[in-house]
Amino acid sequence: MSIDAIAITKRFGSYTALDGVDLSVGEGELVALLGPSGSGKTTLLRIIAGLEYPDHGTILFGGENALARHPRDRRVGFVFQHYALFRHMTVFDNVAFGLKVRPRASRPPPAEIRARVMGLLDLVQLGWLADRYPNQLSGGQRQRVALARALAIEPRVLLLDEPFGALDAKVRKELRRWLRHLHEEMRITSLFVTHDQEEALELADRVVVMSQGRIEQVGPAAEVYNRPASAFVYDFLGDVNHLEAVAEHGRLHIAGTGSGAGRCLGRIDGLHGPATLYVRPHDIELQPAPADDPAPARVLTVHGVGAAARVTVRVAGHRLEALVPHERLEGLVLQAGSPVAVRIARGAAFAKDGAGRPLALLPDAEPIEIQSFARPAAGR
Amino acid sequence: MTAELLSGPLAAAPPAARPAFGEPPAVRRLLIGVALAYLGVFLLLPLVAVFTQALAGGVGAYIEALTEPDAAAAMRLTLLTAAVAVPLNVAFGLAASWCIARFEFPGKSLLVTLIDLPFSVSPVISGMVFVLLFGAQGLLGPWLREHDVQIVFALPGILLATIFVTFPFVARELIPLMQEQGAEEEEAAVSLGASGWRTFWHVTLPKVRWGLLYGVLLCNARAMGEFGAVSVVSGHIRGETNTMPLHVEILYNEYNMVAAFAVASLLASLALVTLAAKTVLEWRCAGELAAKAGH
Repeated sequence: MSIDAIAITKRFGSYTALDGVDLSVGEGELVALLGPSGSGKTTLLRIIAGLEYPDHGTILFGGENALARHPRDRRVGFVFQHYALFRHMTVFDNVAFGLKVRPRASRPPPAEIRARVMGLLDLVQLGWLADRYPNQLSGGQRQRVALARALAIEPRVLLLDEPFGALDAKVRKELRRWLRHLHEEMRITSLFVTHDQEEALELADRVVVMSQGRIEQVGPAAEVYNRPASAFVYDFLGDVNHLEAVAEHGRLHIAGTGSGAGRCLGRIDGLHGPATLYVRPHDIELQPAPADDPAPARVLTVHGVGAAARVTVRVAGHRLEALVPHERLEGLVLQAGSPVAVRIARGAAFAKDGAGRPLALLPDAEPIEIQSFARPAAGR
Repeated sequence: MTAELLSGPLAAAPPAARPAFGEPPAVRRLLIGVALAYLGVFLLLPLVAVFTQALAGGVGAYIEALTEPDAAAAMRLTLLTAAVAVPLNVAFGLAASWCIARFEFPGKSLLVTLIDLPFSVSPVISGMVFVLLFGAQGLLGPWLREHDVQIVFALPGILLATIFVTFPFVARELIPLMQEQGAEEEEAAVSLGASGWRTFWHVTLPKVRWGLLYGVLLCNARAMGEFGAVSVVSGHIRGETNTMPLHVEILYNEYNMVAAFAVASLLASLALVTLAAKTVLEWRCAGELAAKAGH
């Protein structure tokens, strides 16, 4: 069952939660709505579920107008952040609820209900807890019961609102993997909301990055991470360094003061004037400073714990964080204060408008050293 | 010098196990003593007095006072009033708290204020209002006389007055409870395909049952014990429009002390039963709330 949201607008009083949002989710896809608090992602999810109604716009389920149907007739499975299990019913009754409240005509006989519920509980590996009450379960178990309950009604669409937000890190990781596995088995069109980028990038077929009631970018995880369409997306996903720079005659120079100021970072096309350069930590290469360099960059700190070492350096008054693989670290002598040469392997430059704010731009020319994003984003 | 220190006051005082924010024992005992004395004078003493006076003429006189026809009629009327007022106020309370906790609408705060009205109005005024509306000289008096309908000085008037003074109890208990519990479980039920009625019956009602019971208890106690409002509308017709509290007043005014206190002891017993049930519910409710906190 595909989902189409067309020009959805929703206001709460004077606050605009969603501003003309368009989204298409294909049959059997698992899509993540990713964004900070207040980006409108939960509001959009609730509108699709029928728990809220938009001020303008349409929702289509498989081409059919979903807004014309009451939420109870939409056959949407909804999983809440705080589980919303019926506290006075056992786990079994919780999962069976959707089947028991069907009108007499379409209600399955008790034996069949029992078989289906136990089947679902076995699917979520909680068959042994069927007679417990929700307050006797752990958070992870409760969320799995909530999922089984949503699946019991054979939904056409599965919606999850920050499903793992209330769980601790280890449980979250386990359930994430498990949800992906479940999705691959069941292939129900699913849409989930999260503010955890790791979760979105790991789980989803496509990621929808939202900010302030608008969609910033939609695409597979790799695309959204490696080719961000706007400064917001670049900032929100993964770590990023900001460098103030100036573009002149096809070359980008570091702006700033101190050692390294004015240095050329590389070639750039279609950009003139002040700009901000966004660089990922793993795209900064550190090399030994040439002996005759009068004003090399300086190392500030070296943090060697983890998969790669985090090294902060000072260049032209900017503080940059670089990620250096351990093998490379051996060849360099890095301590606080040691001189080092900095090379930017890849980055994205955004022009500043008159107010000094970075503008969202799209990739234009094939990158050689610096990518320049020259066309304004057209709401992709 | 050191030996002096060790054998002096320091040696006598054991390591203090007092919590950082506790009062000194003397203050604590004083406060508890004052509270107990207050309770003793205003609660225990009157209760003991009622039961003592009721049984002053022996158990036989006690039973006779309770089985006397007018007393029996008063008891029946009290029970009937409660049996009508409480269910109606439960329905109203549930409806009002559902609206107020779940929806935003113009006039919502006005509704909440109006629900508290019976608490701020003197019961006598509450009764007077009905006399002014439905009495012979009242607004609707002529119309009622035409259609031969008697409201004041008859059962309908008593029922109306009792309903009026007791309707806030259930609503006031449920509104904060429903607001605090939130609507997530109801939203889940709707998304699973439950109709409005099923959602209410299977999800909402079980959630609020203890608060509801608590409100019913208070509502019932007030309905049975209401004096002022009922006194104004009832007309004090012996054997017909007297509830138990009114009957006690009549007996007392006739200097029939034993009978008066006998009937009063029934009301006092009701108070004790209510108190006991309330305590049990609070204890149960606390258990539920504690379980909820483990979420």
